[in-house]
Amino acid sequence: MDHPDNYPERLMEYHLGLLEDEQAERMRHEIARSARSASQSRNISQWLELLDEYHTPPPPTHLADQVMCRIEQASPLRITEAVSSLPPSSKGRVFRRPVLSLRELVALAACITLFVGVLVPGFSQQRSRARRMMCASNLGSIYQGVSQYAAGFNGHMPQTAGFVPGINWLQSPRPEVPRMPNSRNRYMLVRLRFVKPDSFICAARGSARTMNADQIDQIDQFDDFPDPENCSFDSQNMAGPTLRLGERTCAPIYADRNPFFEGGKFNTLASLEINSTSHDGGSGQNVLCSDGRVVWTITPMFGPRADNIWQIDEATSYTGTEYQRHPTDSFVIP
Amino acid sequence: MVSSPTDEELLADHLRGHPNAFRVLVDRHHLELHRFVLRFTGSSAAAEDVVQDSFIQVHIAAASFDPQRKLKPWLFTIAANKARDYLRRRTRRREVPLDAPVDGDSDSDGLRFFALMADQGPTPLETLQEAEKGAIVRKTVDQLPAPLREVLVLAYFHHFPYKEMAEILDIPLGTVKSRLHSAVSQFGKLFREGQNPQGQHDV
Repeated sequence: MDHPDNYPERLMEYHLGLLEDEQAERMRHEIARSARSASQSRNISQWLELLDEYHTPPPPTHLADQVMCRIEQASPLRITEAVSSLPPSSKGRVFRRPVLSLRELVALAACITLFVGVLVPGFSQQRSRARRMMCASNLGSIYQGVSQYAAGFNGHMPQTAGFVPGINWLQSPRPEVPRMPNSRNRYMLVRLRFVKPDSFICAARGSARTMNADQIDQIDQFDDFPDPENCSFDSQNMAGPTLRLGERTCAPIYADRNPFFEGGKFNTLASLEINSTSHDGGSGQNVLCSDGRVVWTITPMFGPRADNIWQIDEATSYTGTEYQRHPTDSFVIP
Repeated sequence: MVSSPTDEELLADHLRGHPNAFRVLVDRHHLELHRFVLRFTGSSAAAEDVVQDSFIQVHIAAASFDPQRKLKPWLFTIAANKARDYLRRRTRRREVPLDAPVDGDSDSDGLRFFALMADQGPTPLETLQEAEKGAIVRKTVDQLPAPLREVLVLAYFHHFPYKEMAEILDIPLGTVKSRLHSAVSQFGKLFREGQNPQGQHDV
């Protein structure tokens, strides 16, 4: 029996599940009845099954978190929209009163003062929290890039600076001593396209500046971030031993800026347990662990040994040659 | 048994201020949406951006959503539009001419379903080494013109019915059908050309 003109298309629709039940049943019957139809069906099926080979990698694990961060930041838009969509009659009732008495004016002023007092700190806190989450999300992105890099280097993070004798990671008091900051290790992730430059920005840090278009065009020309504020995070000192990625412990590998080395020099601070200044002047810091977790901590005493992530055990001052002696001693530096 | 809330109920809850409703929606759909955009654009970075932007758009426009409609096609509509915008902006992309008809007139197409149906040679997968299968199929899909690629991805990988594909792509149902037919036959044609670079078709 000859097939209708559109038989091939119907056969394809059958295999894609696009036919109505009754049509699909007729097609099944036809395939079962005729050896030629069965053969044609098999061939179409094999062509379509080729598409099964089109696998896609899963999205980054933090994608849903990133969406929610942005939703949180976008919340005021919804509030504005909800207010503007109030029925006209509701708005009309509010403004139909011709005059407000003095007592009403005083009460209104008191209400406004109260609302400002209650809501503004609330909004401010919400903004801070949103920024904190966005920065944590960026640390998650960095971890993705570090992991991809480490997969090709036996679990090790990038290392371009810090091990060279006679070169300091901090500016030496002697100007003739060259400096190779730890940030060069972080920049390698940008240069090799493992991490986007934007991911190194934490908006909570007011002075943060993303790399501009010209700099991004010349990304291969640099060995380090063109501007220290292009990178809002510090990382574990690669001049000393470090844990490999993926080990089941939360050894800090990245965190917000170390408050002891702001400005590229060692600043002696009154308290050793001071937080990073990136969030509200020192409310806490995001810490990225070697197992991929990002933890918000309100104290720098953190990690497998609960030691100070900004300092190494034995040092009280720094010239740029110091390094941790044990991989679990966290030492997050610029 | 308590059934889980529908997408539309979750969006309504979100509008009422339920703190976790939108998170459930995101968790429910972001993986599939990411796969769709990734296959459509061929770019992981674009897929991440488009998925985020699409959910933001849903959030912002939630109040305007007609609760009588289904949310998932709406979400995919937004994502498809944003993915198309991305493809338009991406000037470096190599475009192949749209030499397959997309308006229903498939008679001029050199390789129709008849050729695929009548193939007597080794099965397509048998001609490929294990390691290169995915790469060749991906490259072939990527070579399809965007209007064909998006309909193929929606139909094959995401199992949307015709009506919802028409809604997502904002085109008539008949055009969806003709584009899908063209997409499959173009896929077969390009795949064969990839296998026989000198144009030596064995059909």
